[in-house]
Amino acid sequence: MKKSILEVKNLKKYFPVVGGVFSKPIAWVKAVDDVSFNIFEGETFSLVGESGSGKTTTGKTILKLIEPTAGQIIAEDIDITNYSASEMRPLRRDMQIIFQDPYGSLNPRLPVGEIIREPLVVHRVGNKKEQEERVVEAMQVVGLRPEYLRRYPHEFSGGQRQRVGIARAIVLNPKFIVADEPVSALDASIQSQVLNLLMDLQQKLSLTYLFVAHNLAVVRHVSDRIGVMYLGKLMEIADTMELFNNPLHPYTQALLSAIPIPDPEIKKERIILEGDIPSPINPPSGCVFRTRCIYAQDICAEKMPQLVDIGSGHFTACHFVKKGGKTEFTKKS
Amino acid sequence: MAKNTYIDGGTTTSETYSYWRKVFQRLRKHHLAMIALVILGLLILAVILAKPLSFGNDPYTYIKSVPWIARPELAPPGPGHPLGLDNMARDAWSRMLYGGRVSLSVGFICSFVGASIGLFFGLISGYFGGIADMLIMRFTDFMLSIPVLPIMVVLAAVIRGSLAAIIFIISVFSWMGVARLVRGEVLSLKEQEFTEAARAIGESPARIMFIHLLPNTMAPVIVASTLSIAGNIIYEATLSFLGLGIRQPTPSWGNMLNGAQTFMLTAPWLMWWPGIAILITTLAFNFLGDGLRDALDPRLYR
Amino acid sequence: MEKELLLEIKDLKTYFYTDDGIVKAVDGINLKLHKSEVLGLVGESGCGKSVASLSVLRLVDQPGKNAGGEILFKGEDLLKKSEEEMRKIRGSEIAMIFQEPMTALNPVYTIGNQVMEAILIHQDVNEEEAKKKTIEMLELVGIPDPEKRFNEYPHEMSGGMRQRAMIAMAMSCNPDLLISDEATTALDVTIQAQILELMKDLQKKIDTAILFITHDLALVAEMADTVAVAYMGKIVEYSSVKNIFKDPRHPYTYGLLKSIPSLISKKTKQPLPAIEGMIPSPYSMPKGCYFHPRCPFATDECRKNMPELKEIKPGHLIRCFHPIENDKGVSK
Repeated sequence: MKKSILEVKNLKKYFPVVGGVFSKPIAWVKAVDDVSFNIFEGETFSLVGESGSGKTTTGKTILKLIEPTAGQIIAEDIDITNYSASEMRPLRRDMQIIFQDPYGSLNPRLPVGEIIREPLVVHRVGNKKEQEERVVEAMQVVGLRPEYLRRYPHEFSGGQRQRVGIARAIVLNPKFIVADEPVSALDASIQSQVLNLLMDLQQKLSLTYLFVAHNLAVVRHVSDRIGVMYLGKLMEIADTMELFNNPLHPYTQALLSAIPIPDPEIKKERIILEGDIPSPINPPSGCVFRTRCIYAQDICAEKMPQLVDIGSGHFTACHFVKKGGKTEFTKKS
Repeated sequence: MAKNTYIDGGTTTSETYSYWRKVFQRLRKHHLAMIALVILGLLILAVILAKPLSFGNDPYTYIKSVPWIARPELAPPGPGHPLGLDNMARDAWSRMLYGGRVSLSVGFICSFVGASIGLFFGLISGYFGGIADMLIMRFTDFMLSIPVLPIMVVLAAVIRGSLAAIIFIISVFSWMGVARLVRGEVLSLKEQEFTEAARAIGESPARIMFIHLLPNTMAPVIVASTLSIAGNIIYEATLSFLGLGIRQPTPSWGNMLNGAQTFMLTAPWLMWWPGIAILITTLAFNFLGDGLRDALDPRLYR
Repeated sequence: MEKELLLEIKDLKTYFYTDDGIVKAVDGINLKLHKSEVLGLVGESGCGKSVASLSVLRLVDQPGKNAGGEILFKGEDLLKKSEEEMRKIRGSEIAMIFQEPMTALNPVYTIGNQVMEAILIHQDVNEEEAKKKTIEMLELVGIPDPEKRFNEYPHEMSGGMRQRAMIAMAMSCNPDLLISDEATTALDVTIQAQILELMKDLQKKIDTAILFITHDLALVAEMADTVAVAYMGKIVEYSSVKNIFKDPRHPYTYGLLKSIPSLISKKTKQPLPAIEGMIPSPYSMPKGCYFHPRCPFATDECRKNMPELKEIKPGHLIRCFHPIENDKGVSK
């Protein structure tokens, strides 16, 4: 049995929408709404979804960068849901994050050597000399010249900056890293370099990743398991190959068919979803996907389907997907 | 596999250059600011070297007699006394130099103190938000809604005289702009991912504020402080001109103007020079501030 | 079957004169676009694709300047036209849609008013007719409830709807050429699929030629008839979409295609065949072929001379001394 390194149970994060003279909440954005999953040691678990699906919020809530509204976060058998900032501090050595924006995630007034050294200073690892040695080592591992130690972020290109961010995340030898859209701001030729680096580091440092992304081709390449999110809810979880070969949830099917393919000779039949993603402030009743689903029936408006195991670790949240993966879809009349 | 493949490119220079060097490079292209910088440099040098530049005169000594006119009081310019003597027969040139010391230091110190208070309040207010933010910002609004000059006059009349008192009075009224500015900056910096990255590392709020937020708010604070030096010099001059600032016999440009106004018709030169000094200094600080604003503009950067 | 030539860009150069030096954003680009054809212009950031498209409309801002070349639109050089004449062409004969419709739309006017404005400027119609035409256009681009949406402001619409409104505005005057600059980049993948479908559909209906600019090779495969691959202000490969994807000859195109994670391959979690290094700084361009520092096949010749864009087989042009032969891999 694989060892679960992180467990998320019924996680919810509602952001208040404030208004009026007294800044009282007048509505709630249900960014993450009742999400549960496990991450096993050594694997890459990915959360995919479009904007507003809550995938980034989920990743940041797990690290307690955002306070959860409800639910549980269990990291290696410790319930950290209600941990305070100071209680979290020692745990942060093991849980790190790589950010999307290679420009905004580095302090422009610090040389990159200092940026990478910060985690060591905060956690009082070694003396100054030892810290500097580890910074040099981390820079080498991510493919940055240690001579660039004293340079400032603005002197680097996007891909190099992303490597600085990665070096900062690995310098404490963490076990678990949330990679929040780590390549989406990078050019195609740089994207593959950084993906290679991330996969290489996973092997060398036996890391577990929570990989958050919207690019399905990238996710397919790096993940062991994938969770598909839509409007704050998990729609489907499955092993990578199972998900791509046998998507069961109508949303996953549409999402996969929308991926553009770099081959002019493949003209595939596309499921074009109608309409826009609804607002997370006022999501549809019942199944949140029903407003765009071609198979939606009356029951979908009444009851939110639960995420259930339909066999061998394939979870789906749809009324019409039964045990063993049998589907009973009928087109809307 | 030996990991010696590095990713090159991206940078243009072989040596690293710091942010401030780049700022100075940009400032150098701003002609007015550079002229202002030279003028201010000369002024500061002059007031530091007040003693050797005074031709052996002392700002506090009453001159018994001068050869070119019968009475030494209000003597016009002559050899050894390039700006003449004031109504108490003291050398006006050396009083200008020593008075500049007082005026410039009031300007600098008040700006520094004001910026420090503003930074402190702005950081707390922006970073913590909530009730702290509400209280600090309403207090700032309150301070900004007070008519400054009348209150300063009243305060100066109550605690008369010393240099420290004047600095205190001016500083109390010169931090609000910086506080608002810093709060705004912090609010936007807080949303940037490097602040979140610092939290992900486990940094304490104090460390985040001082290592990550403070250095990133310095650019606008420096601009605002430079511009406020000019304002503070004028406040000092105004208070001293009204007879409520720096007290005789200590010279300042303001109280020299005050002393000279009575003799505007008989000895007009006594008024020109402190007036011109105040004008040039405040203009220079304003030009320098404008130049710094352009040179530090983050939109030109990255 | 040679179609009528609509746009021909000859040796176009657009340089930016900055304090730190001259940036040759577009450095001698040649392109041909025939009537009702879709030309894909792909490349990474800094390749000059956006500047090239702005140059066609003469919308490049200071410190950018045209530094030579010709832009022949229906046989006339746009670079020789007066500002007045250009204004007439923009929006009516050549229309453009951008990546971020929010910044391209004016936030203080309703969507309907903005589309109507475009029609009123370029067509000889009265307000009533223009309004009717506007509602027709909104319906054509798939905006539901067009009468009601006419009075909505840009911020009240979703990204996809805004992009539809932009397309309605661009297409309202039946332009001969539509320039689409990363028009779907900011959109979610299911919305992107909708917009691409719409563009294909409209292209057939209105018979417009499209200059389709993107960084995403997959989109080019879907949309374009011909493809130009740009690198550092120069075209490095130029051919039919089939040739580019099935028989890429330039090491850059080849490497780029190889480095995209596949959606078919059975082997995942494998190292991707990435292009080494990164794009050079525009202030210190390498000598010779701009791609040589990253090219696995670079020789001394590549380090010294810039290769010309040459036809290596009918309709297939590349800028390389050592074109990739079939089955010759970058990994070799």
